[in-house]
Amino acid sequence: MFFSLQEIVKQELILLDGEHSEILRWVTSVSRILIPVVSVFILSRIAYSLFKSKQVPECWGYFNLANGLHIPISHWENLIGRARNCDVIMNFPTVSRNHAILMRQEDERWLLIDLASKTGISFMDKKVKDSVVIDYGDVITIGGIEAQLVGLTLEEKQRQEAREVPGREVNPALTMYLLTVLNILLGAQLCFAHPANFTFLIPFGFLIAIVIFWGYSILMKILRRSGFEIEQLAFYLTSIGLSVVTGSLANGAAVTVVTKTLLAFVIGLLMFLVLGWLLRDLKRANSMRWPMAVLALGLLLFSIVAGRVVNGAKNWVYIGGFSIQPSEFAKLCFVYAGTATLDRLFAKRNLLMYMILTVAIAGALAYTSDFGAAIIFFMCFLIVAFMRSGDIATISLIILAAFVGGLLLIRFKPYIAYRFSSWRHAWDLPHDGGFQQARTMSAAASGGLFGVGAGRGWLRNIVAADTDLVFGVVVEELGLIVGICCIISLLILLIFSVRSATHGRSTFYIIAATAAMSMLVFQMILNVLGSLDILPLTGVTFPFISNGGSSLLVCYSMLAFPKAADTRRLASFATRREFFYIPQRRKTV
Amino acid sequence: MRKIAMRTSACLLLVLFMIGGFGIYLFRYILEGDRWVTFQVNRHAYSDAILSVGKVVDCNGQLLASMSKGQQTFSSSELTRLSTLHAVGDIHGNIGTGVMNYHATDMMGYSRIGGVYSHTGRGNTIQLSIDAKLNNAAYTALAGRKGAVIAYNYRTGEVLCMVSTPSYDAYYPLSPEQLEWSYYDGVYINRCISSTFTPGSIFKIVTLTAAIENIPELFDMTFCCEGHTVIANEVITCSSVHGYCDIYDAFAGSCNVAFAEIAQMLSGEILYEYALKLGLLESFKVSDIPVAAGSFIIAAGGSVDLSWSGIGQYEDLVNPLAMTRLMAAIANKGVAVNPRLITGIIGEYGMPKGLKYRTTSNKRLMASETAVIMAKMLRYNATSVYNGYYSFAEYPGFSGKSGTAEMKDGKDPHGWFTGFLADIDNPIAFTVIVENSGWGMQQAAPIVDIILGEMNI
Repeated sequence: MFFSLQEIVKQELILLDGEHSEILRWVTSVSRILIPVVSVFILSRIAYSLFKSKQVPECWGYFNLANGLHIPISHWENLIGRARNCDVIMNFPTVSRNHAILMRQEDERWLLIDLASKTGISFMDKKVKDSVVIDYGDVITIGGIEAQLVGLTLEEKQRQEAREVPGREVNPALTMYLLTVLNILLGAQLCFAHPANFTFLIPFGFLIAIVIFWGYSILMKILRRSGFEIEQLAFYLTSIGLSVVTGSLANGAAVTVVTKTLLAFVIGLLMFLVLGWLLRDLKRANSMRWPMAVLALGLLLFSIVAGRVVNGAKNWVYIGGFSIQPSEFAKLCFVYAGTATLDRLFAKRNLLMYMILTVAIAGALAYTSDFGAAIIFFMCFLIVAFMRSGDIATISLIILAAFVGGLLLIRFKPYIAYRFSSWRHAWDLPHDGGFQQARTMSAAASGGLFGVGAGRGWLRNIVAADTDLVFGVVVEELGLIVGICCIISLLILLIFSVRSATHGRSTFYIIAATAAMSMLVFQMILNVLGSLDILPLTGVTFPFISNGGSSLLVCYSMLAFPKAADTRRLASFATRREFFYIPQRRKTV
Repeated sequence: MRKIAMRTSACLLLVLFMIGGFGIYLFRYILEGDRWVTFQVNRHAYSDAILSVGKVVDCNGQLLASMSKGQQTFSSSELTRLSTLHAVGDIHGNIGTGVMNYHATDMMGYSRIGGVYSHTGRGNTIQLSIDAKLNNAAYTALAGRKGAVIAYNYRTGEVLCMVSTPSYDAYYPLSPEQLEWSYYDGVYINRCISSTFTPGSIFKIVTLTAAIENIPELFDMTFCCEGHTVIANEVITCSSVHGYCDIYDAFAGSCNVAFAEIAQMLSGEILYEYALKLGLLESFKVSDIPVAAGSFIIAAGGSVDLSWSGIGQYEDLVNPLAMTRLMAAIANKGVAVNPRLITGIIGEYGMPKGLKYRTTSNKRLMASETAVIMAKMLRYNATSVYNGYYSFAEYPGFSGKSGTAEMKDGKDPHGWFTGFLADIDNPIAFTVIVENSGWGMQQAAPIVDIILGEMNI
């Protein structure tokens, strides 16, 4: 029944293409203009919603000083000291530059940690040795200066609750409608691109995506969260990625290419929700770091033991009919393992364990010859190391060491040197070393600003076009404007994470969010600029768009980190609402 | 917290890197995008490395070439296929200046905005200014000899006739063996656009222009030709004994003795300056296709080389199209309307596309007073000498100069004829060169007669 219906529709389409090809032509000619217009519209709405509003910081209490100063405490982790970049600045000669850390506990109490300051901390007339737990109303002496920790009054809490909620200025529903239109246009183009290869999965694939998008928005509505621009960006990129894989289907590929992508999308979204929920509780989240580090290394060892060699790199594992890239999952674990709360950043040798992990991972990747992944892990390490230490000299030294290591690698792995030799010379060797890049540029230029229509490009017939050269496929078929929109989507994610950092509750979230988003942007840089012969081609995927289940799944999971760092009121499901209840042991002043 | 927040801004370096890197790509895309799309694996426009979209027609809409997937159609007339080969180009890209190759992006309708997307999938039509009928006549008149024929409208710039020989049938590409034959020497070169030749006496036009502006007493001078003269102990011979004559008759009779003297009076630097000013040494463009620049070497004053360089021998080289452009400038009071080969691009559903090829451009090559005198003298050439030959007397305002360029390697000389019609209704400038054929008046001039006759003037 189903297949006979599909056959009827297919025959009708073939007939339409033969007799009224003009109609099909107009569908492509009109939709190819509409898709970039809708894309720009979607992106500008999201960007406006994310960046327009002035972010009002959260407030968890005040530090009252004897001289009448009333310093708000706007994070869960605060650095107290004389330095200008402290969160609670106490500008007295007796206070050290970085004197102490004030951290919020699960039970609404605060932990005050002395950072081996000269003048120390006293509580209840006793010198505090390392740390002390204090409540609202307690008076402490920091470097001889008396300060009282006070909680928020009811009125202040109400003021917190009255902070601007995202979604007021820019209605997320309209953005969802635009995303729906985008998917319908893409689906229509692909149904008509090659009528002879029509299957119901082409329109259904987009239909399922639309249902998931709306299902997610309804879930957010139920959870009373109105800021899900981050997810909308991912949905936009997923739609474009879906058009790439469905285009392969329209060109005669097996149906599994689409079902796999949809499955990875659903699982990815679930993992995103689970991870987001996990991150709501800082203590719980923090306790997962060690298991994650072990998991990262375990996954890579697993791919060494059970992996198969594909395209020169041993990074695929086949389990029950599914092919999985453990190194993709290891990226997520690596970011997680690298992040840390503020107190750890002031601990001695705070990076040592992470460095050991990185070296172990580098060894595993060298063994599997996964050069692309190695460079991404290294970039992630650099970012985490810089954020945790702030030490430019050490970072420069590490980069120098890596550069030397890279040169040695090129010496011992000649195929990498071969890639470098054609770099910036793609057009001198368009049938040899510059094979993929020259084709990508030719196809991308053919697309112009609006593309030739989804599924109608030729670049997709080149090996690895839907992964390494996917940007060329997107620009050829959907145009340069859509290509730029994809780039901007990921840049927005990173910029937003950096912007959120100022208001984050814990450095744990901030480091994870910026490291994860930097990792995605870095992958995009390698993918886009590599395929366009501006950087050497490394064979890295474009996040969310490249065909690949593991990659898509992990990209969605990564989004949980910026969600956890987003402290706009009622914005993120991964940020717990804390102002609903009034703490019982609250002492008013 | 604030400390870490400040460190996170370092990640924005990645954003800058991406913007910078992609900016480089966009810059390259704008500069080189048209080169990228003509990569022959681009299946939007090529099939099996052969262009698969677009058409070329002549000025009357007659089909010269039509490209589609797996099928290439050319003119139904073999003669037209031969005579228009170099203007149209070949499917394998051997004739680089042919519009099919040089303007492939126009045939596919490529623009940086719309890419190569074609609504109908058939691409665009390039309309050439060339008239297949005139090309056929010129090709027949060349009769298997190597050479070039150009005629263009000096008011609109439209090239009406452009033939280069040897040629071959586009349906039957040459085999490697055929390419070895001397008959096919330089067959892939459009001699009108990409070649330069020794000019011989037609270079006297340049020497004379320089003399008019630099020798005030030129028109009061009398030259004495005994058939030869001696300069720096070397003999310069003349085609005949011209006796005592003024500059008009010296020019009409193409007196080498007189021009050898004039060259000495002028100096090599001045001759070079004028060859440059008159556009013979520059590479201008005909519908974007670059034209080969000629060359002129400055010889020392008093040397016989200086005299020879003023007569169009020595190391002088000119391009036929550049020579025609100079004629056009003289006919048009010193202002050359630049030649153009393409009169328009016709898009889908017959819609004209873009203004790029529809506009004319001008360049002043000489002062209008000089141009008027030159036109008068070239006209005098016809009334006193050339009108006695062929049907030249019948063409209104027929003006020109013949040339016979001696070859250093002892081969027969190149025969030249270049000129224009000083007639408002028939603003035609023309140049004919027949390689290694002999005397210009005998070899090149009859071809001019045939083309002008074909134009029904």
